[in-house]
Amino acid sequence: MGADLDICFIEKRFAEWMHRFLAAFRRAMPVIFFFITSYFLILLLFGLQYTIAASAITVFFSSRYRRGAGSVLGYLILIFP
Amino acid sequence: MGSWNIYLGTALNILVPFILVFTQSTQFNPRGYFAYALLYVFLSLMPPVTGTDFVIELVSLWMLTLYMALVIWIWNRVHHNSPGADMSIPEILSKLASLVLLLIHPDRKEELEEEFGKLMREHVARRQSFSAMSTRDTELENMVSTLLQRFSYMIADYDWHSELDTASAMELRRLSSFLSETAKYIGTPSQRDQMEHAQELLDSMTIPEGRIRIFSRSIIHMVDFMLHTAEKDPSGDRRRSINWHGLMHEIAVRFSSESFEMRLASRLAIVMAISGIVSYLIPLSHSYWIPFNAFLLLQPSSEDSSYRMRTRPIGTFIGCIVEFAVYPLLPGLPAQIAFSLVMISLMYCSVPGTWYHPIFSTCYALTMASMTMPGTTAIVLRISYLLIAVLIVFAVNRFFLPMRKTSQFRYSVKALFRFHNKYWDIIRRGLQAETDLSISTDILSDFHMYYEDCLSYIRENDVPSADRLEEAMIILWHMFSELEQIHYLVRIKSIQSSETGQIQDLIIAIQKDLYPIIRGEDFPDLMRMIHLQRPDIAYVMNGYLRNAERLLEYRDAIPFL
Repeated sequence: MGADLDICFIEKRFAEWMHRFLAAFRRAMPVIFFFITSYFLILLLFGLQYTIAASAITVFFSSRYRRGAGSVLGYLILIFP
Repeated sequence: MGSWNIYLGTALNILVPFILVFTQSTQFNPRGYFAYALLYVFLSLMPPVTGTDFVIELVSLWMLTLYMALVIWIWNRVHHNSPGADMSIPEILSKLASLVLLLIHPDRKEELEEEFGKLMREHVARRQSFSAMSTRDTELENMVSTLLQRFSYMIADYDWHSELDTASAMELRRLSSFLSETAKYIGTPSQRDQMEHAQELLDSMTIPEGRIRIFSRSIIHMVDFMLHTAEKDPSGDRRRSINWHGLMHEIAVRFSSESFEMRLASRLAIVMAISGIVSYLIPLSHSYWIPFNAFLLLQPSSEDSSYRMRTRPIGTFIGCIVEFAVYPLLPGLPAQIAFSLVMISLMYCSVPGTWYHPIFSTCYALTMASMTMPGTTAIVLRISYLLIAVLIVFAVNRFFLPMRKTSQFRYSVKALFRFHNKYWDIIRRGLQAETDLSISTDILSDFHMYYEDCLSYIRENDVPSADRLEEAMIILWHMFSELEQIHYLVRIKSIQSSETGQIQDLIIAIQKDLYPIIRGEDFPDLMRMIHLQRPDIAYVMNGYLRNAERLLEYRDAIPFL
């Protein structure tokens, strides 16, 4: 009986953890998608040694994508500082 | 340029992080620098060796930036986000119209405070950034901020309820109606009619001198000012000028060893310089992990940094174990890339700063590194470099401009008094010449942000004499509202030119008694001097000095006194 209770408790904790993990995954999906597509874009065009650029730009993406589209000038300023 | 020699590299490692923190971060947006500084750190991890490398890196970054713009555009089309969910000026005016009606009902004051608090918090967050360009829209934003501050004058306390009678309630209803109509017509050809309406309201106001009269007239004057500004042709903004006054003011405020921005910028610059030099001198591969880890470990406050210095080694160590177990089982390059992408995806799902976040980033980094060196070597180097980074950050946090939350709180309380003094300076200048509204608006916004920050700290931490300190904060806020009313009276030329000298002397005497520490020795004489002045100025100044006298009773609770 004690063992059954323990298994139920573990299952319940696992279910809660899974729920939190899936929620976090859904929230992070745009960033993950952006990173993976950028990664492969750079990998295929320029090679493995330049893929770190994908990590760098993903940092900007993760802090900006919810803020709104912004202006073309805003992105040009990022390119030509 | 940074890779040419160690001196240039060190100079860049000092200058770039310093400038980024100094210009992008504030006490209320402490991580404003992060994305830009992280880009700088990433770029320093892949310094171009040849001209071709340089061109390829530049092109890859440009391409990804354009790709990012495209993805964000698509995301916002799909999710119907408009740029910023901020309230527009007509919406704010409509909201204020409804809040003015609540003033007539003393039994609804909690609802009034809650609604106004929401509006203030949202608007304070929109304060302009470091180097503001002066345009018609920025001027209107400044005026809205001043308008909200003038409204807060009525919520500071409710002594004015004794003035509330049929005539003043009618006046407040007329004010509410005027605000609602202005919300509809501002920015349209009909706004001229509103300007005339404003003048009619001012000319026909018959309620006696008091808080309600001062409040109503100050709101109408500011809205009239906004209507005149909204009439300006925005195409004149093509000759946009930098707000040099505002910029110099910001730089002066930040350039103090006590300011948050200066301390964080200096610490980050030192950490990056030292870790960069150590990385350069270590003749082993992947030594750039030292500055990279040091950058991630250094946080705006010492407490947050200490927390990361505990969680990051734990996560890194676990990540090394996972990598040690899994990597040998990965069959070839595609599997290794797939594994590293899964790890980095899990990293993006994790909360930065937690103990499990570095597990995934470590696995990603080690998988990449293991493609060019033995896995065990990469693991040993990863742990060693992290420990060196921890030592560097620990030493800098401990001995160089440390930023503890208690020190920051003392600085914030001191800042509230400093803002009073600065505002008196603006009022004194306003007696002689027109003052720049953007500077007074910035001080208003800063005061409110520091005020909210202090209150949160008092409520969330074990502060000695917390109740008395909170009461002292509220008195300071009342005083600041009165200061803003005095500024309004000076701007609308309520002072006769023959009185200017007297008022100047009065203000200098008040400043001497209030800053840098409060003394009450001259208060009785100051109150007698005020009795000689015009009734509206006298009314507000008396209120200010009475509150200042009350503040003296809380001297023992105020941290820096």
